[in-house]
Amino acid sequence: MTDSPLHLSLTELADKSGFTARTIRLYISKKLLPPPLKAGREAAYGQVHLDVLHSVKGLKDFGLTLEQIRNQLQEQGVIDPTLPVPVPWLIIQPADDVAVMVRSDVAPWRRNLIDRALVDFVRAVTPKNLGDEPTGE
Amino acid sequence: MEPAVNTLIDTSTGKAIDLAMQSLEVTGRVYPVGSFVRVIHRFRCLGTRPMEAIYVSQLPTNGVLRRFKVIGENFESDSKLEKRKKARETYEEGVAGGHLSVLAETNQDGMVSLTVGQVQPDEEISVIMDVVVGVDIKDAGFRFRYPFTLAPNYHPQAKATATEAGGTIELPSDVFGDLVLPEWKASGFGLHEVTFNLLVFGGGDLVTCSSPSHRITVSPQGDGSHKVSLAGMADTPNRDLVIDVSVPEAKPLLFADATLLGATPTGNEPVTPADAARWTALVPSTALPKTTRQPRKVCFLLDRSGSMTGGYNHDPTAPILGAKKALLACLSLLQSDDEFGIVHFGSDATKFDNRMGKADDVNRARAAKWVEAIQCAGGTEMLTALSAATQVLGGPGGDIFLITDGEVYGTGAIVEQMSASGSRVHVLGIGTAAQHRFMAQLARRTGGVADMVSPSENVAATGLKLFGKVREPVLTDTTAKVDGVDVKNVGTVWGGLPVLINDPRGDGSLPGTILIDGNGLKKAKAVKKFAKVELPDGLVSLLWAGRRIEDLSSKLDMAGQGPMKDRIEQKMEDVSVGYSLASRVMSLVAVVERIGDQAGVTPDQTVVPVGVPEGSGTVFPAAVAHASILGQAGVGMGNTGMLRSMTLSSPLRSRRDYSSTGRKGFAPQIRRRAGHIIPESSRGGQPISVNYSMSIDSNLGPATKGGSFGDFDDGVRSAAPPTMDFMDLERERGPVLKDNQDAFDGIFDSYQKGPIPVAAVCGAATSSEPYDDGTFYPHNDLLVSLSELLADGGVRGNTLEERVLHTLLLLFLVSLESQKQPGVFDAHIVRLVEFLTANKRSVSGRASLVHKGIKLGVSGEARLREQSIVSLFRKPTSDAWEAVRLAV
Repeated sequence: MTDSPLHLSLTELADKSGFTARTIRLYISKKLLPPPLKAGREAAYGQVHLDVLHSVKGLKDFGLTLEQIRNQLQEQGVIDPTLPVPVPWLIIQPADDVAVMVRSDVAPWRRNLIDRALVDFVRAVTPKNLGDEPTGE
Repeated sequence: MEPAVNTLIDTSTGKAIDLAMQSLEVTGRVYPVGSFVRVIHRFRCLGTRPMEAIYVSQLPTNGVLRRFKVIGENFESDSKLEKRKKARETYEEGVAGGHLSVLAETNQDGMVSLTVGQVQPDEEISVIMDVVVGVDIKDAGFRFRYPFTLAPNYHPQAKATATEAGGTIELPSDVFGDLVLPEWKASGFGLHEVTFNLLVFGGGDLVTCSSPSHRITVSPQGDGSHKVSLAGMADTPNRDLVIDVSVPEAKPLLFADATLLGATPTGNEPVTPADAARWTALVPSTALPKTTRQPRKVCFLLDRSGSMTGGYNHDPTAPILGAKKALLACLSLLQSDDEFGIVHFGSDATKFDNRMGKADDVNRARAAKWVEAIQCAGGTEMLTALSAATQVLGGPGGDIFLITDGEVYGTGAIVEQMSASGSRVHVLGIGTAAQHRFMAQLARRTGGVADMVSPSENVAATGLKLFGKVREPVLTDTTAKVDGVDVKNVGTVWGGLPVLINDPRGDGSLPGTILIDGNGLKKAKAVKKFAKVELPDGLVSLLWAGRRIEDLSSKLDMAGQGPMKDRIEQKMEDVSVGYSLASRVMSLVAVVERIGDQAGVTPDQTVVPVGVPEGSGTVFPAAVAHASILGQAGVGMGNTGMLRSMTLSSPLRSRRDYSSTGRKGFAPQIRRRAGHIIPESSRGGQPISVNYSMSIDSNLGPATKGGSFGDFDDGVRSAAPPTMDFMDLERERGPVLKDNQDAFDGIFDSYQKGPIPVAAVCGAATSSEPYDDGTFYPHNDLLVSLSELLADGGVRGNTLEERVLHTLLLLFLVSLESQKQPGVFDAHIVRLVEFLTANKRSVSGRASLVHKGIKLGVSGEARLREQSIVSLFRKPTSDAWEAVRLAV
């Protein structure tokens, strides 16, 4: 990446590039753009971001999908490679010897079902309950 | 006791990736002319950085956004209506300032994007959107429809990609701006939940509510309304919500603003222009005398694009199969003075003939063969196809009967071009997230009629009912006057659909007498008495404004750049501002400044995914098939699932042994799940034994458990254990089967390779096979039998006596089935009766028997069971006549 004297806000980057700010935020979320020159409050973008957006426009006009564009830019070293999207799991560990894994992106109604089923299970295996009640079915 | 959340595993970032939009709830009040709907969107940011969530949805029919309220823990704020560009600037300024910003924009093809920016970590936000929604009104009831997902439509420049979870579509930005579509997900993972609680007002007592899309609970509220809710906790956003409401009797109704009917104003009435319409009158079609039938010119237009294959290539409920059956059944309703044409289309359009042809037996048989050979492929170039149909019609004034799933972008251009063509377009829409809004608008703007059906319902029967309306309208060139004032654009009156008349005066006075006149009426029909139904103030006028905005939106698509575009945008702005409604030129925006908001922080953007519409998905075939095999919720459940095999051994005496009536036992399941492959029945009285293995959906509980075949009267036995084999056909070779060996192999091959031709699915139903002795024999699918009617309305036969006898027997079968599916076969019954009446005296000594048979057949009172009737087709005519005599 080249250093750039330009320091643009997101709004200014949108004005200069011809993309809307909302679209640029989409490209950021899809890792199509390099990270900002300065992150956090008053994030700043520079020439490199303008150049990448110019490339994105050209590749889109050529007919590539965003996924293909990202791969192309990664191959060219313009943006860093991205890791595969992880599948997120929650681990519920009611005791040292027991753990239950639940996907954390499951639909809320499904999560409610799972949680309700887990309540009894957790109650049964939590160590302080062992010896107080008969185990098994 | 809550389970303890201990550790989060994330292989790269360590962040929780949770749902941006948690749930969507549809509430509101539904009336017979339209609805005030309130949609509650719940967003939550569970990440460590601020979130921007984008939710893209489809506007319902005549749907238009009114306003929204955004509610947080310590605040609530109402939206403002601003010009589109200004609203976007307001939103972006809010986001740049770190404030909670909400923007609702309406786009082409009725798509709405709701963008919620700067939701802080752990913050929960609700956006409550008020929407005006139209309904499909019928003589005695209505259908309410609300989309919970988007259809993955076709656009020639769109890029569709199948992903592991489902698929994505990227639209060309020069046409759609920065509209980004959500990812479609074939499983329930990562999808928000949907629920609904609606108050339904039927406009009368004894209202019945049902839903072909969701399981519902219905509770009367004591004030004439019914609360209709989702049965169960929540559901997946992969199909439209459809609620059917019916009342026992069709009668003239007057829907009017409550204050017009004497109610005290509440002060919360919507602000509408002073001359806005405040009432709508409904006159059912049954109140009008029917005019005599005129010959029709109809061009059938069949969508055979890739999306019409349904969930995956071997789906026995694929839309194309129902569509073909519907088309063939409709052909049988044509009479010899009607003219017809057919065009099928995908990426291009193919005509049956370049010009219309007479609906005689030769042309209809030729057309049936042509239709059966149609295979699905390609995109959905609907405008090209409609133009081809217009060319076939040879000029304005004809009817186009379009059968499609409607999954196409660029709908505005299609509506505008077809409304200028002079042809009426009638639409049979097939799908669960069908482009209902587009298809209803296309029909309305061209003077046609539309109906939508999901692929798992009886597509052919719905198509037949719809075509029955088209074929014989109640009244054409209809005009109306309200106390002497002309009403514009009344159009054609179709059977089952009422005349709707909006207040033409806008002076707040109720109607006295409505006069309706039309082609062929000796005297105009005067309607003076109406049952009055109170509506919330403003609903009538807002519904009118919604339709107006919908129509201006499609005009905008055709306007290009320049003065025309400016004029249309100005008109749209005038309606938007006058009625306080959002449109493509006016958006809704709200910005809330919270304590602690930090300027300059860019939120992480996420686009809320939606479900692949049930029964759809050929845009993303791999993902859908994958999810189907796993039997996951939300994708074609009931159609797919794991395939298991069973060995069945059964001496079949006739095709009718697999009864198509009663839906009892195992047999109909076999027929439906295994692609309708039914061995031919015996010929000349010889029974055939057929052994075959079939793959059965695991959803058939009794079958897979190996029991409960007691009510299947041909002694089918199940084998154990189930395996994963696909279809495997073994048969004993008999004289009939030998002739059809190639046909069966052909069926099997085509099943492996691609879509099944209708002939194979329906068991080779055309008149040319397999009975070359000239005798008619009923197929166990009645629609197939009816598609074989000759031009004079009777079935074929070797002698006129045989034709009369077998037509009478077919009438008995049809009227029995009619009791289970009312309205579907009315037009066919008329044709059968016409033939029998015209020919009863030609059969020596049987005229009065036929006459009695007609009467009892039509009323369904002939004392013959279905299986007995079927057996009579094979008996000597004298024996069959004797049985008929005993029955009547």
